[in-house]
This record gives sequence, C-alpha cells and structure tokens, in this order.
Amino acid sequence: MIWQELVACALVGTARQPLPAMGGNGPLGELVGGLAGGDPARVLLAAAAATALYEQAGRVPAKLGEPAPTPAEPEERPPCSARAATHLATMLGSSYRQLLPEWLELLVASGRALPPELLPDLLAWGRTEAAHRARLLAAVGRRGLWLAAQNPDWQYVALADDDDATWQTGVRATRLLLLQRLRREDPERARQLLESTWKSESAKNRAEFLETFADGLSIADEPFLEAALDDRSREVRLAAAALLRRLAASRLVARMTGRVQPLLTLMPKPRIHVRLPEVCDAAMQRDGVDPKPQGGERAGWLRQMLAAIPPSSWCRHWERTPAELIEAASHGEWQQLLLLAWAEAAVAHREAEWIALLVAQAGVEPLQESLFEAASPAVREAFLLELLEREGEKFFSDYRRLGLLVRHTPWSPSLSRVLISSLRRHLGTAQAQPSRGWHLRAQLITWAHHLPCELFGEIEQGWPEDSPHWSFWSEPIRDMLACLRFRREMRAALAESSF
Amino acid sequence: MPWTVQQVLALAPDAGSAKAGRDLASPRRWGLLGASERALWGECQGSGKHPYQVKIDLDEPAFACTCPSRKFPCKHGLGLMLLSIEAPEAVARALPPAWVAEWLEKRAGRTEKRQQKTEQTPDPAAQAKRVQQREAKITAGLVELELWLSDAVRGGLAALQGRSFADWETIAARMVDAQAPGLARQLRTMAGVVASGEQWPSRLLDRLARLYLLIEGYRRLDAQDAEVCADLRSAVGWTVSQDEVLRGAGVRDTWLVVGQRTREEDRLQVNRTWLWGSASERAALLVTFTPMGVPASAPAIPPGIALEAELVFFPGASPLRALVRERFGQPDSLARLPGHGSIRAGLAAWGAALGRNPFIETFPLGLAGVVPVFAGGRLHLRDSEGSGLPVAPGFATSWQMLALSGGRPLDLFGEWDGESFLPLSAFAEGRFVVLEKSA
Repeated sequence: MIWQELVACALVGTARQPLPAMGGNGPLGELVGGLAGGDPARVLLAAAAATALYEQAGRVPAKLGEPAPTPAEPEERPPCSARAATHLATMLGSSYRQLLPEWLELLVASGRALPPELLPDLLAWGRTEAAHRARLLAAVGRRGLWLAAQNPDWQYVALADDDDATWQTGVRATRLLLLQRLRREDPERARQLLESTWKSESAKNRAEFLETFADGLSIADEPFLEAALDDRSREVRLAAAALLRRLAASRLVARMTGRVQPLLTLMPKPRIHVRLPEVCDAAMQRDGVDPKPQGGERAGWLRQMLAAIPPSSWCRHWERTPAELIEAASHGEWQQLLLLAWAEAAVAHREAEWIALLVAQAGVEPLQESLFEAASPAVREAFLLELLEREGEKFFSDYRRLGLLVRHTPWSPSLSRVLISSLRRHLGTAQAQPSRGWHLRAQLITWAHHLPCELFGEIEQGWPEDSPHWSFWSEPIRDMLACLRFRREMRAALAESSF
Repeated sequence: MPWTVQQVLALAPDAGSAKAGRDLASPRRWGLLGASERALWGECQGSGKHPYQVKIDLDEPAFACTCPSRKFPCKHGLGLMLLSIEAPEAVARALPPAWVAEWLEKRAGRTEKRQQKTEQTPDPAAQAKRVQQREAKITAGLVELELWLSDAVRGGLAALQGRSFADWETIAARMVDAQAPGLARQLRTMAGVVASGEQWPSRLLDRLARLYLLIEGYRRLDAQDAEVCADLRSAVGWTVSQDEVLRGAGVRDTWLVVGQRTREEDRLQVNRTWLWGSASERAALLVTFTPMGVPASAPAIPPGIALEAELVFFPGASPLRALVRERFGQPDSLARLPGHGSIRAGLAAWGAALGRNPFIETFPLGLAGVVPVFAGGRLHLRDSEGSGLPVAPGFATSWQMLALSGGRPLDLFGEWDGESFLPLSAFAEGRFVVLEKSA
C-alpha cells in the first residue's frame, strides 16, 4: 500500500518524517525506485503522481454489498403521449398548476400511464394537496407506489399490500387515504376497520376518520354513529351528529322530528305558526344542538333542529306539496328561519325538488352557496341565466354573484356563450371601470377552468379592444384565453394514443 | 422538418420563456407569417407600437428578433417555431421579405468571412514575440509553483487544512499573472478538496502531485511528441484558436447528442455538450462560453438528437474537445444511448484515456444496463456483475432516475471524475430523458 504510506508522509510533512521505502518489483516499483535521491518533497510528489495514475488507470470497481433492489411490477397501462407528458411537466413547473387535478382525472380515465421521471415532482405536489390524493393515487400506478415506499416524505401514498396492514401500521395520511377509498368501494369494510381500532385512536384521528363516512353513508352506519354521540371528544360528537342528520331513518332524525312537530302548526290562511322551544336540554345537546347559537338563542335551537328533518316529511305530515309549504312559509315573521332551515335540510337529505324550488324562490342575497351547489346543473344554469338577463351589468361588479358563478361547473356551451357575450358587452362600456372591476379581474383566470374548451375558437375572437378601459382588462383576458387554450391542448393530448 | 415540440422547448433558456413561447404559438398573435426551405419569419404584436420582427434560420437554428428581451432565444422565436410545428397550415410557404432575406444573406456572409479570416495571418513577427513573452512568464510561474508545492509537502498537508480560501486564491492569482489560467483554475478548486471530508489528504495529494507532474512535463516540452505537448499546453492554459482547429482533419459521422451540462464558472456560462459518434465510437465535447447576462450567440444543440456532422478535434493524445465544422441535413431523434456493458469496462476505458492524457478531469462515460441502488445512504449504480459506482453527491435528480428505472436496468450517460459519476441523461423504456440540465 505505497499510496497510503505516501499520503501519511505528506500529511505530516517530509521535514518531519522520512520518505517511505520506495521501489520494488514491477514497472511501478522500478519507476518509483528510480526517483530516489534529491529533495524528498519533490521525490514524494513525483512518486505520488506516478502511483496515483497507476492505481487509477488499473482501477477495478468495488463489488456492491447491496443486492439488486426488488423491481416495481411492470406497468400494464400504455404511456400517455409525449405531448401530454410535456403538459404535465409544464404544470409541475408551476404554470397552470390548478389544472393538475383535471389532468390526473383524464389520465386515469384514458387508461394511460404518466412518464415515471415526473413522479417525484407529482408526489411532492401531492404532499400539500390532501383533497386530490385519491386521484393522485390512481394516476401514479405501480411505479409510483414502488417509488413512494422508498421516500419517507411520500409515505402518504405508500400503501402496504393488504389493507389490514396499512390500517394497523400506516401513517395517518395513508390510513386516511385508505379509509376514503374504502368508503367509496366498500363502506362496510371501512367501518369495520375503524371500529377495530376506535378505542385506541386519538380524538383528532377519531374526528378526522369519522368525516370520511360522508361517502357511502347508509343506515348501516347508524348504530356506530349513534354510539359516537356519547364520545369523550366534542369534535367527535359533533361529527357523528352531522352525519346522523343526513340519515332520514336515523333515531336522531326521529327525535328531532318529535321535538319540532309540536312547535309548528300549519294555519288555514295558509301560513305556518311557530312556537319557540323553551329549553335546550341535555338530550338536545347530545344530538348536536349548540346551546349558544349566534343571534336569538331559542330561534337558533329551532333552526338547528328543523335543519335536521327531511323537508319532505312535512309534506307527509301536513299533506301539502313542497311549493305550497314554501308559499306558506313565505308569510309571517319566521319566513327567513323556516326557509334557511329547510334549505339546509334539503341539502343534507338531497331532496332535489325542494332544492330546485328553494333556489328559484331565493333572491341572490339570502341564497346559501351550499344550497346552490347542491342543486342540479340544470337548476343552477337556469338560475344564473335568469340572473344575467335580469341584472346585466350589475352581475359583473358584484362579488356574491360572481362567487355563485364559479361554484357552478362545468359551464354548458349555452351558458358560456351568454356569459361571454354579456362580458364583451360589459367590457365595451364605460361602466367596466377599474375601480369596480377588481373582483372580476381577479376571477377571470378561473373562468378558463369552467368554460368548455371546444368553444375556444369562438371565445378567442371579438373582444372590445378599443373600449376606454381595455388596458385594464387586456391582460386578464389574455391570461384566461392562454389558460383555456392550454386546457384544450391538454385534453386533446390526453386523447392521443401514444408516444 | 423533424423538429419536435419537446426539442424546441429544450432550447428555451428557462421555464418562463417556454411557457410564454407556448402561449405565443397561436396564429392569432401573429400578423405576417411565412416560411421558406431555410427560414421562418413572422411579425408579432407586443406591447410596443410596432410589431416585433422574428426570423429563424432553420439550419442551425439561429434566432433573431427585434424585441428588447435579453433571453435567448426569446419567447417570440420559440413561439414561432412551436407554431410552425403545431399549426403548419398557418405558416404559408413564401419568398422571404427584404428584412429576412438581408439577414439570411448577412449570415451567409459571416460564415464566408469566418472562412476568409482563417486565410489571413497576423503579423508573424509580432505574434511570435507575444508568444515568447508569455512563455517566459509561464516558465517563471512554474518555478514559483513548484517551490510552493514542495514547500507544502515539506511542511505537511495537515498545515494546509487551516488555510483559508484567500490563501489558495493568492497562489492562484500568481498563476493568473503568469498567464497560466489552467493552473490557477485547478488551484482554486483545492480549498474545496481540503474541505471534502474523510480521505481529503489522499484526494489533495492526488491533485497536488498531478500539478507537479504537469510542471515537470511542461519543462520537458521539447522532449514530448506533438499530442502530449498539446495536452500539456492546454492544461496549463494555452488556447488553440478555433481557426487553427478548423484547419485540421474532420471526422464525419452521425453524432448522437448524449448529454449536456451548463454551469457558471468565473462569471461565464459554460455549456458542455457531449456527443458520441455512432460509427467512429468516440466521444466529443463541444464547449461554449457565454458571459453572464449576455444573450448566447446561438442556442446549444439540444440533447436527445442525432445529427450528421463533420467535427474537428482539438489536438491531444486522447482528443475530446471538438468543433462542428459542418452539419448535414436535419437532425433525427435519438434511438439509443451507447454505453459500456459493465462498470469494469467503463473504468478500463477511462484508465486507457488517462494513460494517454493524465490531465483528463471529466471523462464521458456511458453505462448500459445499470440499476440505481441506495447503499450506505448514498446512491450507487449496480451493473449485472454486481459492481458498484457511486453517484455524485450533488446529483439533483436522484429520484427521477430511480423512478425511471423502477428497480430495473437502464442506460445512462454522464461524467466520471475518478471519484463519482454525474448522470446527465438516461434511456429507459425506449425513451431518452435528460436528467440534469444544469448544475
């Protein structure tokens, strides 16, 4: 090991340590041996140069102790097109990131695989995007699971081979993902898994896991949820009550009905006579009624209870149609309380007829966003079209109206055409002034997510570029068009067959 | 024209330009649009009063635009090129307008002028005098450096550990004064070697001894053959003029563009592009230097293509650096990544090259069928014989490489520096993928 001896000598210095013995057999030995004599420092440098080169030129690689890794199972899905892959890379490079969920969904639907070298960036993105994890999991495929299992940061998708093991040993995010998936595929099994560890879960876990029951909720979950009303944690109790309110056949809904029916009377005129509850007793609180609601206490108790009862049960109770009851509720001092509570109940129990009637009946101001979102696409479109026609210019300057607009998705071609032509007209007028346009300006980019891509050609043309305020609008309109165009290309590329 | 969207996007100087270029690839954004056999042109309305005039010479490709952007190529150039691929029907065949024709002529003229320039020689007496003066300075510098080196070894490398960057900078600056920038550059890297952790004395002695070898070799320049001479002169810092190189014999081949690396060095953007001759089975390195903040005169050749070209190599015993003398036809996309069948064979090729030129710092290494494996907390490559090669600790896209392999063998190309391997590109499942664009 002449090299190590040379290094040791150089480290201390030739002034303090004699040179190691030089020379020996073989060409290197002869060469180095011939260097002896003269300044030791220079001899050492020359010997080191020769030895280092000799060793490097003849270097043989070391055997790697580590065995070859277990490879990922082969990908069965064909790869997506090269163009689609570039789109994904663009989105992961932070342009148009908001379109990633749509892209992933389309990829899964197309039955194709994404290019593996983009998996790390996608998995990193998914760490902070809990809402899109289920989609991500379906898109990353076997290669993605194989990769994620090797990086602690990506444990959230690293599912073990069997669900039991994942549930017993996974990190919280992984378990949550498993539960969410099972609630969609096999809610019964999900509940059994949760019950198996329920007693040892933290309060935070219990509440969070319970929320997954919103998917696949059925009366079979009722006994478990009813028991959870007595949980130690208030968060868990409230989560259980919120779920039971959505089950028309639950004991909780029956108890609520029993409490509220004596308080409401249908008068002949017709109008609804309301008597407020006197107390909020322990049983009511157990069912999730907040004893200290905002506003009037007693009215608040009634509203909370009424909101748990399916509106259709009042039709049976009084033998009236929904329209008649809404009409009756619209007279008298309790109009707002009754309609708000029914709206909430109609959403919870998904009563489409009630939702449609309540949306049509409501003006914009008291219309809750949740009610609007629960309505069928046709009902939402009709509402928006009517609003656009009635209000024209005002529509584009008001954040509440604009807010409802983007809660509806996707926009049909007919709604889109009306919207775009109204917008063009609006931007062409002197009223489209910057001081009133900030909400619209900030929102325009998201329009590109709602508009149908097929209309791009139509939408691209005909903007009022000579309008007095165009300089304020040109940039957001251009960005919106660019984003819509990207979306159109992205969808077309995912429909292409392969590389 | 086989340019693909991906290849065009690879020309973009950054992600922002790629996105902006993509947004501009719509016929609506353009006034005049046209194409000929050799060129593309268009007028794009920007924020100014007059539209920007964009022209592209497809042969290279070379870009020119009247916009004030410092990026190169600018978004207009990229947009026009993308548009011609995605919507060729929008770009009509036409005769180039005057502003395009003039530019193309001027470009042709420049190439001619370059050829003419090689003909004329400067005043030989004055040049010989300058060379002589520099030789004298270098000789004096080498004496100084040799003294410094032997002092360092006499006093012990341990004493160097306490030295600051400034101390290394002092001797490096002396070599700059002595007009030996190659030596100065190597000395500047030494402070990093001292701080490189375990085994640093071994690495440092290797470097210092290599410098000593260079000094001793340079002193005996007259006794060497021409190729060794060229390597020694180049390592010290002499440059050979491109005109002189271009006079040499060329190697025509289908050159595969297998890897590329851009980094900042002394306020210069240094772009290194590795080629592999598919018939000649040899590597070539194209190096371009661009001052920071100044647009490049031409975009680099994008990796992942195969081009028919004649290359001329800089002189040396194991020549790598080359210039493109002429390109023929349009590039094709890469269908394979050539590489050694085992790590042992790859290192043997490196050893053979070192035997011819001991001053090689980075060696182009293609490896076929290796699997990335984590071992001892570090990424290694494992071949079918079970041999391992450590991956450079600064390699930024380990996870991408791991994802590409899926635990199965893949083909890699990269740079080997005697310590670790820096992957630049991969070929897996029939696709070429760039692993590290810049570092």
